[in-house]
Amino acid sequence: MGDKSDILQGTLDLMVLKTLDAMGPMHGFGIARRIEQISEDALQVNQGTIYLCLIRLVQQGWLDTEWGVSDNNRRAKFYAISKAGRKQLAEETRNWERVAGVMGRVLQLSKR
Amino acid sequence: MPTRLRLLLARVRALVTNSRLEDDFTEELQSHIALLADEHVSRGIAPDEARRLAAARVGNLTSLRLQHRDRRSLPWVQDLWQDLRFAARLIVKDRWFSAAAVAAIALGIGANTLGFTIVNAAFIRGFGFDGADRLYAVSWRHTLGRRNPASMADLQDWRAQSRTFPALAAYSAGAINISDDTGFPEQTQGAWITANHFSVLRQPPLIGRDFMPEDERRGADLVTIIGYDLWKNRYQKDPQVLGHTLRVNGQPATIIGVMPERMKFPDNSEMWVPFVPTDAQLARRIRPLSVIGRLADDATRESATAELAGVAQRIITDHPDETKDVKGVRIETLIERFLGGAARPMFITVMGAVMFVLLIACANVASLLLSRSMFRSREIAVRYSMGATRARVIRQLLVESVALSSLGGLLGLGLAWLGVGAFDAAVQLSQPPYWLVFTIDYRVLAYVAGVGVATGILFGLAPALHVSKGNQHEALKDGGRGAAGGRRAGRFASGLVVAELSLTVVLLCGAGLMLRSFAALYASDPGFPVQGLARMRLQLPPSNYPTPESRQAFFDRLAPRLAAIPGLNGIAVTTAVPPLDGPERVIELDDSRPAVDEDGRRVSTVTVTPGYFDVLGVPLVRGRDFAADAGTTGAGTVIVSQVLADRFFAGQDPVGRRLRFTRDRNAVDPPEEEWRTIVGVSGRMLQGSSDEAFRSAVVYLPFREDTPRTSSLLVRSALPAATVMADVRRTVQAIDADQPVFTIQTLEEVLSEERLIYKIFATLFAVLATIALVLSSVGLYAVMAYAVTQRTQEIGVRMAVGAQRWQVSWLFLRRALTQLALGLALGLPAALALGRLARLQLVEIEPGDPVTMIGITIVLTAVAITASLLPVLRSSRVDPVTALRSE
Repeated sequence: MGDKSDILQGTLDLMVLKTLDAMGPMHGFGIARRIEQISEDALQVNQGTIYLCLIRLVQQGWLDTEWGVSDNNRRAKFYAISKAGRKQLAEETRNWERVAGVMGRVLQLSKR
Repeated sequence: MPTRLRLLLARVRALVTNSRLEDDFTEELQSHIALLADEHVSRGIAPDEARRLAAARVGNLTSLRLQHRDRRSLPWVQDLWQDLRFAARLIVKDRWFSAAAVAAIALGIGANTLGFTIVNAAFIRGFGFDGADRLYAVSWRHTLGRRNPASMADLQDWRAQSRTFPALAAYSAGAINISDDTGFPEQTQGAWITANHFSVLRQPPLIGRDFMPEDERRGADLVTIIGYDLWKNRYQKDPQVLGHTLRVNGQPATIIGVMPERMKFPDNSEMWVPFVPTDAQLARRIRPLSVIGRLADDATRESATAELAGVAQRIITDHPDETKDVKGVRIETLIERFLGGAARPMFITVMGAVMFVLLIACANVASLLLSRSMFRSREIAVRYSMGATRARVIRQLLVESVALSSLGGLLGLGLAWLGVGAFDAAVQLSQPPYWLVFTIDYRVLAYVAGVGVATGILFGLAPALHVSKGNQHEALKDGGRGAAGGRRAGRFASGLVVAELSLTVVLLCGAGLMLRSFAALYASDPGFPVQGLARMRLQLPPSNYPTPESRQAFFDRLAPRLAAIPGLNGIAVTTAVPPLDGPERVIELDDSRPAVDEDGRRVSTVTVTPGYFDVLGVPLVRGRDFAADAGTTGAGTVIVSQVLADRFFAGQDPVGRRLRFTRDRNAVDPPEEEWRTIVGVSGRMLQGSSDEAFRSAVVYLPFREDTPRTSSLLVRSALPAATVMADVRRTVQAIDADQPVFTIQTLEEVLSEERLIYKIFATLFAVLATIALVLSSVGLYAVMAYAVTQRTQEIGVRMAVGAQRWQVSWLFLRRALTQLALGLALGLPAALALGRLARLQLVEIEPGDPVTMIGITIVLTAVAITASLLPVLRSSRVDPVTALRSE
């Protein structure tokens, strides 16, 4: 626990929001699967942990939920990004790019 | 912030919808596993295997569900809820233990709440005016230190020169006779007030209008504002009463307003009339006015005191002859002004006593909890082994004790409600100031809530800290029995019992002293046969009876008619029926003995008609009664009380000796007081303030000398008082139909009214001390019972190796006696010290009264031994074989 997971959580939030923004409504399994693919299994954690992130985003009003039916006819809960979520995503993206830019430059510097 | 707020709201919502969310999440996880399993199956894995793999990939479902719950909701609230549910189960399971603890707390908190209600009424709630904390009473400081009212001229100077008080109002309270053409004439408490009185108090009338400056101008038509009770009782709450004319002391006055219910400022007043000073009342030395003011926003009590002291000094410098008796000013809050004397320390003593009771209750429950703790050490150990932190365990134990104390508090509130009702009913009989009403208001409720939680923590903390400590492995092994922790708890519990016992000793002594002094008061012979005596008060208004001569004429007409009433065995008129007394004056004697200081020569004065002592049945021990014409002829005569004779004439015969009053220094050019000859000495009787009844020196003056405005008809008859007094009332009103009579009482009633306040407080203390005694004996019992249970095995061993039953019993009895001895050793000196502080409230009893002290010791010893007897007997009945086999 502590700092490490906070950072992880922050990035996970951003990944979830971005995924839903790009792909439209998805169920928890789909989101988990998608993030695994993108991160090339860098985040090898229990898939269940995705729900700990999702509940937070829902409670903050960034995601809407609805029970629906999956492609293969399974009942599943679908998550969709809300208006507030898009705003948050835009802000987080800007933050991330700025931090990433700074970090990139710093790392370049130390290599020299 | 809004995000965080939304999160918090969502979590609070989740607390309520928790079980639905739990199901929802479980279903979501199932669906996740199913989807993942489908994927595996599509890759050719067998369904069972696919499902197993999928579940493993999702993670530990239980742990996930717990984490999810913590995330979506407020875990500490849920933990608290869980703790509460556990506590509730425990309370129900150990219902006898719980009942004992709750009863103890209920008694403690109930008593405490009663005490706080009393203090709240007297010192905190006060008068209930808007911003009453900025209202102050301003008065002169008499050279003897007491407060001295002001004159109209003083008021005008204060008003003109004070900036700290933007407005000053004044009143003069007194009885007012009311009559009109419809109802009975009656008398009521009233006040003559300046027109700005109610605006300074910020107290508008319920209906009608306030006084205006025109109303206090000389020659203005007389107007009056009446009180709610008068409105209700005399006018049946008729709104048409505004504009109605009645006679105020015989003078026609128009009603312009009605004050709201329970507003009777200053002095249980039911009628207010503008103060229009007569020429005489404009003189600076005539000081009838009590002054009140509202402090300006930027002023403080200190700045106001400094400013008015300066103004007062200028008045003294400018008018030296008319300010001989005063020096400086006194500025007091209304509560300080109106609640002085014996009541104040009495209330504080009650608060102290109820705090003791609460502490005893806390110590009691703490020792109960400690006693139980040994049965719980295994449960606690299990909790630790499951990974609970110490803080978590302590919290759970505290939740339990606060749950207990909350239950106790609730029950205590019920007890307090009953107690407050009884107390208020009793006090209202003694006609207290109108604003002194004892009720449970929101402040009391807040106090109970605070005390409930605080006591829970107070008595729960020590046992919780204790139980949560200790060697957990050992606890798991043998349940803590015989472990060092158990013995430490035992010692701690014993300490608590000693504390309880010593606090109880203090309370018992306090109650004992008060009861003894009340009993002394009650048993004291008033000095006259009380049976068959009754009184009725009369006030002759100056409008109808302006001079002493006109008043005397009234009584001269009345006397023969009263004498003709059948069944009436004697009648006298006086300013004070015993045990009451009259105004104080300072006397000097005709010899040139070295002057005793003024305070030592203070006596009270009572004006009586001839026959007063006959009617009372008090013989004159020396000399004779007043002559029929006493007071009209040149040389003045007086009768003195036995106490006065003893004090000033030690051994000599006072009859024929002379005394006179010192000159009234308040008067401009006071007349020389004449010498008066003592013609008689009255026998000992109760006349004077209750606390020094037999110590009061009284000078009796002849009635005709200066026929008073207010007096009592004192009547002796074998017939029922009500019958006789109805005849007397008819006779009075046959002479003057406008003349009201009031306060019709038998002297027995007068006596018990005088003693009532002592009775109330003595009863209250007795109740508190009984509660303390019960609590501490239960505490002692519990600790002894615990010790016996804890040491059953040890007893078994002792008996097995040959100890006798009495030896085992002695082992425990010795411990009880040690605790008792320690309690007495600590408690008795403390009681003595506190008794000295409370000396003022004792009548005819010394704080170290040996009867009380010895009595208390015997009572407590008996109760303590009885309480420990049961456990001690049980210890002797222990069967060694069973004891050794147990565990």
